[in-house]
Amino acid sequence: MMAGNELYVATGLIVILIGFATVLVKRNLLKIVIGFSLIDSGTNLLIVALGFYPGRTAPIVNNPDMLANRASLLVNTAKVVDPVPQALVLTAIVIGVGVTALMLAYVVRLYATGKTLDVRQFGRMKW
Amino acid sequence: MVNPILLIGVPLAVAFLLPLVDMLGRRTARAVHLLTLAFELFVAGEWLVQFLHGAAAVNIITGGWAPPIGINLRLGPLEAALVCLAALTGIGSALYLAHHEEVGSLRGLVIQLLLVTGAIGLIMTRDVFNTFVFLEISGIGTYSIVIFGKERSALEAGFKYIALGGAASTFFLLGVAFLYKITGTLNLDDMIHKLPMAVVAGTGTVLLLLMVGIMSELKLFPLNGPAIDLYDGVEPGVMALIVGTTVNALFFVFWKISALYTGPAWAAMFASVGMTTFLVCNVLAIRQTRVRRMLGYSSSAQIGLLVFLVPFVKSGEVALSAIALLLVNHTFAKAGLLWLAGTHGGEKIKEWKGAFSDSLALRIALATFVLAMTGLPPFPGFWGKWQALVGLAQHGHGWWIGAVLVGSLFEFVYYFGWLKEALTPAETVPRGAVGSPLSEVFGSLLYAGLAIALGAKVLMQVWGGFKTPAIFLGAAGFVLLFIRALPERFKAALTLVAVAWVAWGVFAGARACPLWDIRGFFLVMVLFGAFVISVAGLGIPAERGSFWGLFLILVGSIIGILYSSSLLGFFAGWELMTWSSYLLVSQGRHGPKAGYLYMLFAAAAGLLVLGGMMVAESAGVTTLAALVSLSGGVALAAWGLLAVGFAVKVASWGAHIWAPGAYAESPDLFTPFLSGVISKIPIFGLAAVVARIAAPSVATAISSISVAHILGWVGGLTAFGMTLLAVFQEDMKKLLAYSSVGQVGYVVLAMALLTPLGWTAALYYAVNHFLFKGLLFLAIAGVIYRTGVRTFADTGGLIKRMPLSFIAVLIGIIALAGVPPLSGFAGKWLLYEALMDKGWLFLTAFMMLASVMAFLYCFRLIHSIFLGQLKDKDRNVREAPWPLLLAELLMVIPILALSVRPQLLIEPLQHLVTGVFGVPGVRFASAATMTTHFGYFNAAAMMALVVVLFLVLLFILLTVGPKPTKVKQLDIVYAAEVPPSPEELQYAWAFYRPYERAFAPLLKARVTAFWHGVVDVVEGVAEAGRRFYTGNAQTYVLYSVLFILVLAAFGLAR
Repeated sequence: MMAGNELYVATGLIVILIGFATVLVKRNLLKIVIGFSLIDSGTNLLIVALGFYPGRTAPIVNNPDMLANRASLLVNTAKVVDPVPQALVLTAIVIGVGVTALMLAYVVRLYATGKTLDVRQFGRMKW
Repeated sequence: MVNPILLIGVPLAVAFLLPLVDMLGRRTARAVHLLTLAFELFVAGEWLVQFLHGAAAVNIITGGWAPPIGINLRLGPLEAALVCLAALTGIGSALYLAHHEEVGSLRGLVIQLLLVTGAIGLIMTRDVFNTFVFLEISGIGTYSIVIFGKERSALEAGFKYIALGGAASTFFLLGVAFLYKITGTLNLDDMIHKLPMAVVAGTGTVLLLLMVGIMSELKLFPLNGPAIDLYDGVEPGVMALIVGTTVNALFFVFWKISALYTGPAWAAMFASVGMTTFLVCNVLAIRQTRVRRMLGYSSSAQIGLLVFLVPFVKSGEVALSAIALLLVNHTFAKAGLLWLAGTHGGEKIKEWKGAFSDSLALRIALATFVLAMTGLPPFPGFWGKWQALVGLAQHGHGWWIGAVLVGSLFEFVYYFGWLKEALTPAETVPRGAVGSPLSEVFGSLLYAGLAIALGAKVLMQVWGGFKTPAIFLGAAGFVLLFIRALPERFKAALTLVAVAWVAWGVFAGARACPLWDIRGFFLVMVLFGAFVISVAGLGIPAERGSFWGLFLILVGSIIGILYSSSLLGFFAGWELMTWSSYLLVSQGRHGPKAGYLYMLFAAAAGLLVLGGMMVAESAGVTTLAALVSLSGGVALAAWGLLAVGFAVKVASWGAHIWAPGAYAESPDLFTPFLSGVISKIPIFGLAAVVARIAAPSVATAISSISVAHILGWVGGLTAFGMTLLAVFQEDMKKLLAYSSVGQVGYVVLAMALLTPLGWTAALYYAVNHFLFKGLLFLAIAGVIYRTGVRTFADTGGLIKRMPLSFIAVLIGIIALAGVPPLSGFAGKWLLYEALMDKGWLFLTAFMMLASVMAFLYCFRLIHSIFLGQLKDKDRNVREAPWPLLLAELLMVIPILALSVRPQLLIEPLQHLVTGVFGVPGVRFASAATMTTHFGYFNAAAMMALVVVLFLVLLFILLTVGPKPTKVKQLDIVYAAEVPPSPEELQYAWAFYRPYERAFAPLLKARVTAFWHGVVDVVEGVAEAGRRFYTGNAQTYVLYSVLFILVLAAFGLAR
């Protein structure tokens, strides 16, 4: 890894690990969903950190002339952080929200059928 | 041509517009939904045709940015074919789900389209991150369609699935992000190009994360727990849709991304994980009691097999078409089975008794899918598996082949266990398709039809067109299956005409005597046997409407075996014979259970034969004729596997336990063919396949024993053991069954001699057995047809009621016993001479003992049925129907002809044997006198002698001694004793009890106990193994983490 982003990468990894620990250890369905949210956040942080270069600016084009000239855009990439991970994270956040919402919907429906939030009560289908 | 981008754009747009369309009415929405899928099918189909005509794959650039900056999609032949499959499955499921309201609602329609779109996106995209997006779209589609289920089980399954899916997509996304960091690109092709140049520590770990993400989505072991719950808990129509869209698409993603994984370590990892999945899931499936859960295990196993093959296809060792055929096969069969499972509604396997007995088409579809899933011909999976195995064989992957074959055996166990239930008539009113509209089952019928059509097309490439007898008979049989209205006797007449027509075509133009070569020899036997059975069918109507159709397919498949010159053609015919005869056996009253056992042993035999052929393929041998070139260890392995396979199929001692049930419980009309003809086909296998390989020796430290000698002993033991068992049977068909197995044992023994005289004996004996055992089973069929009973204790004294049947049985048992004056004597004479000639003296003595024991059951057969006391219920029994008697006459004529002139058969056999060994088997001192080293034999003289002796004895009997007094049957004086049970009065019951006591130690059911032990062990393993799937969502997530750690421990994380 290049210098400058270790802190963010490490934080991302730690958040992911906390998320996994939550998913694996907590018995409450809602806490498990929170665990997945933590995993999502950690992943997003990690990805953004991967594209981070110390001292560079945000990859936002504010000069209309530059937009018109694609070649100059590519030349100027050396001055900004990598925009691709940011674009990825934008998409990933949207997807993460969708999936979390669905998970919560499952929790609501499961609670309605079982009157409990204990994940161990929902393992009747097995073997 | 339509722009392929519309393949994604149109369904996506329609998915969002459907709520608006729905305002015009649900019917309109459904119509638009179907039209969209039809559009997909049309566009992809049109492109597919272009590609098949050589057009290049098209690249679609999006957003005006060329790759690697922009996202691009690709449509090539594979992509187009997969999109077609997705659209077809979508149509089938849409029609099906319209009858299942929960998911047939508007939301359901939208999500169905979303699933199709997600799959098509996954198939077409060439961008790694875009793959992630479509992965999530498919995932969300699945999660949301599952949540509609009202049942708690579906919800539970859905939550587990979403939990593991969450972990998997995290792994995948992390993998993508780090790969981007390493290569600086997200375009797959660019990445494939750049990755090998990047030497960054941790690349292996990144690739591992990405791969575990995909493998989790693919439901490979050990990450398939939630997926199996999903199959079990979710509406099967939805699962069918997922199989045809998401599952295939995910496999294609794996296929595309696997290009990033170079080097032997990854190839070994893919092969190992795939094969482990295939084996584990197939083993665990045998203990499943719920249909859809079993199908879930099967799906995992099938995907495992495909994943296993990928590295071999990438390395060019296995043809791509192998994977394509297996995937298409799985889509057709699994989606079809799921739709059928939904239409039927039986959740437990036990609830499937008599399934679809009201719908011929659905029954055929069910059988088709089961046969296709187990890789039987002519369905696409068979050809795919063959190609895959050939590729593996030619590159020295013998152990992998062994693993594939073992896994396949378990597939037979559970799929045919299920089919057994479906074929068993229901005691109560069966569940079925009563009133299910055509549209609900449209998908099943379509996929069954496509599987049959595609399979038949390949079969015709292997065997030839409709003009070849095998294809002609098979096609005729297939058509006959659908004709329900005709009376069974009329169908028998049609069968008769078809068989006669083929026989005419085959023999009329033949210049040489057909008996002169081994194929023609068996061909005569098969066609004559089929002809006789059809004649008998004019008298005894078949009990099931599909009897004659299946019978023609069976005859066609046997002819296919005989005509084939390639290993593939032979094996295709072999397996076709296996399943068509299995279905016929299952038509008997207790047939399904007996048929199941028959199928398992036949499947094992088939896999052994396949294994032997793959050993030959590994040495580059593809035709039967080229087998002679094998030598050394390869020859030993091929010889051994093929011989053991054929020995299992003739029910040799040790593997004989399937035979009594199959013979006894199969329809009475079919048993003569099963015993007379089908038991001879493995003999053809020994003669035309095994014997071409020079019999190698098993070298040991002390001595080297020829494998042929071992086979000889197997035959000898079978002859002795089965004869012994036959003596003590209480059921007339079982007696003949054991007798048949024993008699074929003699043939195996004589074949194993590998001498001209031995083969003459074997083939003469084979024909003779075909004639007298066919005759006996036909006569017994008549007795059972008229009296309705099968046990000896329930019959007796029929000689005056059925005199012609009595004469038939008398001729049959004299020929069987091998005593003068009938044809059996020449057979025994040749056999003993051949054995002594070879110097196998101990076996000679052993066989003489066995032959003497055969007298016991021969006597019992005729005595218990025809002599003794007539039963009250049988006082008005009539003689067997005349067509049956005619059929018996057709068998009697050759027996009598051979009895007087055995040279009628021996002379053609001289030609045949000379063709194989270069010298004839026996010599002729004169036209009617055969000689060997040990003596001579003149059948006509013998016959004359016997007739004279008989007449003299008869004269003495009639003239000397007191005149007999005639008494009525019930003119019996009881000795002041009341018999405790009716059986005690019946002479036929426990006829040979004293012998039974004497032989008691030999009669212990050790073999049966052994096989029970095998079953117990396997079931125990499966029962213990399936507890791995604890049902807890957290355990499954934990497995995914552990899976990464285990793979990392293998050194994949570099």
